[in-house]
Amino acid sequence: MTPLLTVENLSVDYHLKRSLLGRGVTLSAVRDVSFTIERGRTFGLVGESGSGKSTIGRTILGLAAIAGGRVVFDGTDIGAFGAQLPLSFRREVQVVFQDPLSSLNPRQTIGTTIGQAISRHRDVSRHERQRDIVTVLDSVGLASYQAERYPYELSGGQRQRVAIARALAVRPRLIICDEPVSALDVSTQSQVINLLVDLQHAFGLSYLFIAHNLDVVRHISHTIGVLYLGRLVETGPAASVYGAPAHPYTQMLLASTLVADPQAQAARSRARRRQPRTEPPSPLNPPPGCPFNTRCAWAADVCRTRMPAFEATASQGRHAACHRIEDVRTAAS
Amino acid sequence: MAATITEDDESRAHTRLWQRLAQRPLALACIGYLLLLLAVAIAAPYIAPYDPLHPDIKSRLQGPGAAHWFGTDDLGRDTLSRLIFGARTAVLASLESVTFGVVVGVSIGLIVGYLGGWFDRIAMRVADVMQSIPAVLLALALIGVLGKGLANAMLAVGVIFSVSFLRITRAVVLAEKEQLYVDAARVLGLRTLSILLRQILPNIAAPLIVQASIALGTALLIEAMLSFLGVGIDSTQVSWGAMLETARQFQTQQPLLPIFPGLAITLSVLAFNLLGDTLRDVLLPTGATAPGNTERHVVPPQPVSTPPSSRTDTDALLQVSNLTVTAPRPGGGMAELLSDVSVHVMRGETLGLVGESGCGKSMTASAIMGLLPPAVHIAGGSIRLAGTELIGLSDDALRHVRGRRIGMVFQEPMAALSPVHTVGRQISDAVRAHTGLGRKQALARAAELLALVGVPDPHRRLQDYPHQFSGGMAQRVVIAGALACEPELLIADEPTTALDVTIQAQVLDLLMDLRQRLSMSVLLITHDLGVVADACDRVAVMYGGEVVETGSVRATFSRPRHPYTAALLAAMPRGEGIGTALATIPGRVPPAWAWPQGCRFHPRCAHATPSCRQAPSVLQDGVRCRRAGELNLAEAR
Repeated sequence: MTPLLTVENLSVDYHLKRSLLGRGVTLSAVRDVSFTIERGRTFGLVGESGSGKSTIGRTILGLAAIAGGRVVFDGTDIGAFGAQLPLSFRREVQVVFQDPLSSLNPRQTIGTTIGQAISRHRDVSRHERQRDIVTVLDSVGLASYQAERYPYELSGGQRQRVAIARALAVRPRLIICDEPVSALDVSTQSQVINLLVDLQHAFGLSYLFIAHNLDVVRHISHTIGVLYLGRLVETGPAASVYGAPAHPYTQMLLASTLVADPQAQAARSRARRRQPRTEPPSPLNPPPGCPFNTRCAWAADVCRTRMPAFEATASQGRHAACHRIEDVRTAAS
Repeated sequence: MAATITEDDESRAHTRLWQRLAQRPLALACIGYLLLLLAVAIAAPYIAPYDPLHPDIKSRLQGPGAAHWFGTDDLGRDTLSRLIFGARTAVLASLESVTFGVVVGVSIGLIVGYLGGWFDRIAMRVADVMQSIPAVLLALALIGVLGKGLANAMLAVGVIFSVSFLRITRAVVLAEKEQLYVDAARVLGLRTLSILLRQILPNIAAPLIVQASIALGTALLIEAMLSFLGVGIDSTQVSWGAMLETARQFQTQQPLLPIFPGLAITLSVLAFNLLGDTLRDVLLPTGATAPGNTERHVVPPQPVSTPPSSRTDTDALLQVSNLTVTAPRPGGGMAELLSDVSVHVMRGETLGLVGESGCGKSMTASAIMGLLPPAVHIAGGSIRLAGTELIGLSDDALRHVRGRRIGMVFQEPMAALSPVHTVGRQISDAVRAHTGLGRKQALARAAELLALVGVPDPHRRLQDYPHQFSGGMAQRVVIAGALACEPELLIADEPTTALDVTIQAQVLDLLMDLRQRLSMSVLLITHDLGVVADACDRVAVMYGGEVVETGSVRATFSRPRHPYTAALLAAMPRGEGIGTALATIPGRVPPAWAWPQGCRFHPRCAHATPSCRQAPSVLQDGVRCRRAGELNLAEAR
């Protein structure tokens, strides 16, 4: 079966500072990114700010323009739609953003927000709409009386449930989750993660799960993609990428992710203190060669001149872009 | 399916607009006056005692009397009746021009603001040209073309108004369309018109309503001015402006004539403007808070000499004992934001203060710094820094402690730095404020500090502005500023929350390294248990304004004794896959005015018994749980 979503060599540019003379700076936010999302599965996209992870999500949603490559959803190239994506596509792909307060209209009740989504996509009577609102609120663990509430009357976790309910209301097949738990407290974060997993089982949903925390991404994803300065540096099954990261950047990311276990954390601290302490380069001015070479302990001459190809590695189902992948692997084992 | 969360209904914190207006007598007076004006304008033919146009030469230029309450004018027309009909003209003319301005300006502003691109550029250039033409001049020109008449004149005023409404609308739409809810609406496939009218318009209405109120006043004034000049109304209409013109001619014979129309114009314009100002305060976020909440409680706090419940460590640099902080609760009474908080930081030690938002972590830090918000005050307890009591110190003495003995680092480095001053200036100012060093020496010291916190090329970077630094480097600059006077204690409130993970790790390493090199103590406030595990020696876990567990990080995290600590630890994903559900804590942290009776954690606790509901738990042997002895929480993980 073909994947639900295929992203092929996607590139996205942002044009900054356009002056009256039309001269501007072009930021390559995403370069040559390819991955697929299977039905009922989660692809976790992890990277730091400026890595282009949110831009990829926005491109799939039609909120950012494709500069190169293709995004194919269920056999349809969404680049062919033009500026206005058709309603039929809107029904299939929905979004949950990071900040639930700004992603909900502050002047509308929860019921109005969800009701709008329902009426736009299904021809329902007033009564049926009310029933659907209650059903979808129930599926995210909210009570029917909360339909009367305004966003400011809810807690952060409840707001995020509402945002998920709004996405679910149109019965989509793919939900782009753009840092959906980053703004939440630990206990609420785990509630929302469990909810997303439950909903995936119940409705056979696929997720593109975008986050900066590798532990969270590992927990929810079947496949992980690691993004650095707009390029994928590593992809593979979640357990194997997390268990034995192949790319030096993934290793750095894992070593920098903090765990609440003093012993395990001490080991991670030791690993991260072996990493070079450098700042990430500006996305406006990426270094020549491998974009990670300025921060990489393994960087050799070839890394500073030539872009590494994104190739299959020795392990099953995994790809990485690193000239020295073999040396890194032998050193690790 | 997920279980329905049962949560206590919270009182609706936001009050309705009219309730907020009702607290302002001046606003009510304005609204009352304007409603009266509107009623008079509508009912003019029924309530006016005379025909305003009917001359009565016999009783010309009379003063106020029984027959004519406000007197008569040069043709013997009744002033009161003319005022009443004048109100009708004024209201009609103002409404005409402002309605035209709002409808045209807001519609175009919404469209060009939302669509942007060429529409926007063309519309804005046209607006620039229009705005350079004075309203009255355009009105006179339009009258010249379309013919005399108030309707034409006010239409011209409306055109000018539409430009200012266009500008305001466009500006607020530009900001509002970046909001994620607009993106969400686009992803839902809502129609552009629906996004504009149902999503964006209600959210930008506040500044437009304010502007409309002020524009009504302006329009009323312009109508009076045009009529005074004789280009507005025709002979069948009555206007306050025209009445003033008559009064001007006959002032020597009847000096009372200008009083009434003058008063009517002044009061009406004033009412519109005052209402606009009040609406601005009430509707727009920068407005002052409701009266009553703003005054600072100057109850002189005194250290309460109750015996501290935790061991008093004489070696502790910072000793907070039984600290209780209160604030007025909505609806009267006081709420305890912090209750009986006792923590200490030893010399050279890093204490992690951890908990979810709303548990009192930052409030504890603010109390230590003496930087509590207005209306929040210390009700009891003691805060000692190296033996010196900080509660009750004068502002001057506290300022000396802050910065000199205690340094502070916040979450948002960019917000902590002034964008218009160079980094060198900001750090050297901090140095000079506390050391009395000269300018040159202070700058040299600033460069040393930047080098200390690992900013490369420090001498050159002194000349840079904060925006030229990345987030991680900016946080290093803030830390450098906090270290300016070699404080004994550094309070870091979520110092790495806004940073990327790799940079977070670097900043934590820096803090640990500095602590060692400068033999400082660090109080690290965070919601991230991973940060505590990485950087802290000891930890104090807070819940509901209380310390619920404290101990060494190693012991506390490997053998948590309080159910809340255990639940927090269990909720962190730890590398298991999608098959395993994460442990959760049901519900959420209640607000400070609704702490539960008994143990504050009991409604969310998996181990609660009826006795937990009845009496509060006390902090004993580093844990605030009556069942601590019998529970084996390490197993549960």
